[in-house]
Amino acid sequence: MTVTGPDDVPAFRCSGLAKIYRTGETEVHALRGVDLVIPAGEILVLLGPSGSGKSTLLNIIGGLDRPSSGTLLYRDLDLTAMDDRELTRFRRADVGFIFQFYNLIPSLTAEENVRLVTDIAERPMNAAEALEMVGLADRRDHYPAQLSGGEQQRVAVARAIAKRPGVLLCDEPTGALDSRTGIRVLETLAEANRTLGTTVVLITHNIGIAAMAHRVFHFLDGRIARVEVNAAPIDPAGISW
Amino acid sequence: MKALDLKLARDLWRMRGQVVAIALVLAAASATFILSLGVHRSLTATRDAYYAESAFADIFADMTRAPRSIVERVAEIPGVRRVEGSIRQYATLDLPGERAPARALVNSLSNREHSLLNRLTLRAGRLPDVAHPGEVVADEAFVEANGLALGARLDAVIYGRKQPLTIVGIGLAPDYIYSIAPGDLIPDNRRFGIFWMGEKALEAATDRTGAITRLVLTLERGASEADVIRRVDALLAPYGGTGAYGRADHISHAFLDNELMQLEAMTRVIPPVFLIVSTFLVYIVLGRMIQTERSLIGLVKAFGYSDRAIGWHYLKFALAIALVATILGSLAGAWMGRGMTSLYAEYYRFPILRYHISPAVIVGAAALAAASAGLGALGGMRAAVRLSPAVAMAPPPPPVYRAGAIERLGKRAGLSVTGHMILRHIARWPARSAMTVFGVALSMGLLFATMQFVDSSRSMLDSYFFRSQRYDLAVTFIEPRGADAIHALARIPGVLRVEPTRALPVKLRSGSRTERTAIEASASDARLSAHIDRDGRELALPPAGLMLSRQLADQLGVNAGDIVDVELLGGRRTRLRQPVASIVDEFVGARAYASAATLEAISRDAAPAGGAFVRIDPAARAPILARMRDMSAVLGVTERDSAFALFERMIDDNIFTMLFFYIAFASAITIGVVYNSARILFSERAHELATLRVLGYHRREVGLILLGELALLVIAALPLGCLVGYAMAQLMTAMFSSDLFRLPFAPARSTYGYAALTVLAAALATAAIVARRVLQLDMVRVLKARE
Repeated sequence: MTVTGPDDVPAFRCSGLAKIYRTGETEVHALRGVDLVIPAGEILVLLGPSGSGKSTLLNIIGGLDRPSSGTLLYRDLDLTAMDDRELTRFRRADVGFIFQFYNLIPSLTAEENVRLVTDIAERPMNAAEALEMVGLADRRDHYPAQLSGGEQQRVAVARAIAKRPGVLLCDEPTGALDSRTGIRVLETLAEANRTLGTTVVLITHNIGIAAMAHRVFHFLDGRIARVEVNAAPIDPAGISW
Repeated sequence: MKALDLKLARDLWRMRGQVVAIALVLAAASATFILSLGVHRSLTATRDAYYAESAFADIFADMTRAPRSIVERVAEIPGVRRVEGSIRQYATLDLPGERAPARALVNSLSNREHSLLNRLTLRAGRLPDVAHPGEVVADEAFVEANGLALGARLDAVIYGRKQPLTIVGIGLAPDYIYSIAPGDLIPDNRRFGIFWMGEKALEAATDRTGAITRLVLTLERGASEADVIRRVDALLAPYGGTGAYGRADHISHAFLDNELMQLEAMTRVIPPVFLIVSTFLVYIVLGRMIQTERSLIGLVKAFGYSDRAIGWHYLKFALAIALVATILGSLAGAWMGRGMTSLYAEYYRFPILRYHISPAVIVGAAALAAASAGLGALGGMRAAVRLSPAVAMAPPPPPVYRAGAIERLGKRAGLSVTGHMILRHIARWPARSAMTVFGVALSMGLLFATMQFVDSSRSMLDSYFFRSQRYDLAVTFIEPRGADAIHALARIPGVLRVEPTRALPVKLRSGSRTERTAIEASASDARLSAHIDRDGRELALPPAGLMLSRQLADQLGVNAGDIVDVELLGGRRTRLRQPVASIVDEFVGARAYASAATLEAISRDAAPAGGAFVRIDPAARAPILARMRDMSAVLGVTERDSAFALFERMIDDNIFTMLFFYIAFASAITIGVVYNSARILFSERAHELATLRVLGYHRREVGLILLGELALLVIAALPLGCLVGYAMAQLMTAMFSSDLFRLPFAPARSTYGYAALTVLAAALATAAIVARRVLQLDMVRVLKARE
């Protein structure tokens, strides 16, 4: 399923992407026509107030949700034409997710949580190797309840990168963390981007984080209000929290 | 409506699937309780009212012939309240269209306006007219079974004389509620009838003017039955008395009693199973509900609601389930009770047998349901009450998992990560997992215990009808006959073998225990009957001494090697001692056997035959029966195959109807347990399952994690279910056994399989319903909420 094309093929291309939620009689326009190109191998940050459509976009490009209208391509795959099985296969092979609340399985150890992914991915790295990358090799046999918040989030990052995903989609990955642990998590993301060539899309409320991105998309009312291109992204260590 | 009650109503509606699943199990408890107790009470009340109204006697005594004046002498016995003498005489009937001879037991009707005891109830027509000696009243079941009507005429042979009879009345009497021919086990109303004839007419027909053959009496309150029986026996000894007996030995009363005992056993065994499971279900469902409503409980407490109000709120949830269950259960119980009562009305003849549920029975069922649900709610209520608001509003600490012993085994077996998830989840909630296993095991146990009644009856019938009765016809003579009668039977073309039978009425005594029975004898070279032990072995008659059936031996408290006193009844009242040579563990009746030689030694006479077992060429059945019908010595013929068919019909009517209900009820347990476990599992794991979907697991794979845990628990329940079923079945066969029948515990191996398959099918169907939720799992919404 993984499509490895030349680097000039963008990771995502979407145009006129709209999403309408119907709850009872009210309609919520979460996305009102988003046109967007996400170049492969970049780090992107989505900024904007709550309800501006960032998470909706992230869920749609990650194959968790479907747009109401518009087109969406991952490399040259048409995600809007996929059924549930195909979307699942897409997530399985190409997408790594990281959420604010880690979403680790409490009954599995750190290593087993990573193995959840390596067991089903096509060309995964070793679970121990992934934990090594996030600096948790010595905590592999700990259950989530025995890990700190930052450690749990790093396990989640290890789980996301272990499959060598084409894209990493991160929804407020540092939202529940203090600055020191937050920066460690961001460093791991940047490293994955650097070493694996993974495209990273990151939602945050923390404007400082935007400094590590190649591009920053500003969301407002379900639309992209402004795009900033950052010629010289900085290392997460230099982010002012 | 108060806000908290509004929440209750909405919770009940939101959780309707689980509420209904528990209510169904609890309703099964109410239904079986109302069914068995309701029918038991209806039957008891009807019987007691009928006995009282028709003056059913307390003691019964038969004799060859006694002068009517004996009645006054018996009346003088202290403790005797009323006595009545009558004549009873078996007659053969010539029924058009009936190939085998039919029998009637003709009773004399007192000339007085009303008889004192065992009063006849006329259903139609009138009593016989003194001026017309051929007029009779016939019992309703016989009239119905033979399609007869008032005014019907039939020929009878009474006491060797042919006499035309006219049915002028149709009636019922309390001593023939269950009317069976001697030696039969279930009524054959076509071939056996009860007739009542004018006293003078029957005296004339039987040459017994001024004489009686039967005495019935009632006792004063507080009089000793045993005492009176002893005195009556002493008085009747010179007249060929065969031993007076009380209601317990009265065949109709004993069968009815047996039925009541079985109903009572049912009430004691079956509803408790459902009650226990319901308590479990309420416990786990409410426990989970309180867990998810933790912060809400904290909030409401912070608002100032008392602990008591919170506890009461959750108790009401349980009581609402009990209310639904009581309503459903009462309706189902009443409906089934009506059906069961009408089944009983076919075999037990009462003037009116109406199913009536007293309010007390419903109140009892409601109280049991409320207690069961309330008990289940206690655990959750306590947790809710104990929660302090500050703690409750903080998120619950994450569940702590540990690798347990099963785990290490799993690891060694190379279990996948998802396999570990399943095992650890089971180990994390051991009590709930155990309850699920136990609930499903109880369901299977109940299924098995019910289903094996078919095996049990079949095994009993096979032993009784095919292995022990190897004849085609059992012929009863009007009175004991010599070898000439046997030869006459043997000469009928198509008869292959004839073996005489003899039964000697006796009282057996050991210590203070006494039993009335008959010693049955067959020739030493007998091939048409055999004594089959419980394990299928054939036991030979001992050359000397008696062979007792296990039932009789237990009643007398004796074993092989003991000595019993034998008192001959009727004729000479000899007493002698006989050793118990062996015990045969039979299923039907409390009987005693001896070789023909032993019996001759006991009775000190050459053995006249009371009847004969006959094996025939099946092709000649009809002409043989026709010949026997015309033989004056023959009173009746029982065809083994038609007796067997009657039995099969009764099993079809009763056991299969019950089986249908119990399969439905037992399945309700599996459905209730699996559904609730699955829902709780799903609610606990929705977050994890959504995470797996996000990680790229397919729906099928995620569904397997949910179903895998259930499957593991259900499969673990199967062997336990076999054990529970084994124990329950033994208990139930023991409780359903009586003086009349001993049910063998003989489950076919396939019955375990059928019970397991039924449980698996119910579990699978239920799990599939819950698994559908996996398909509708909204990954985005679930992940947004923090578990």
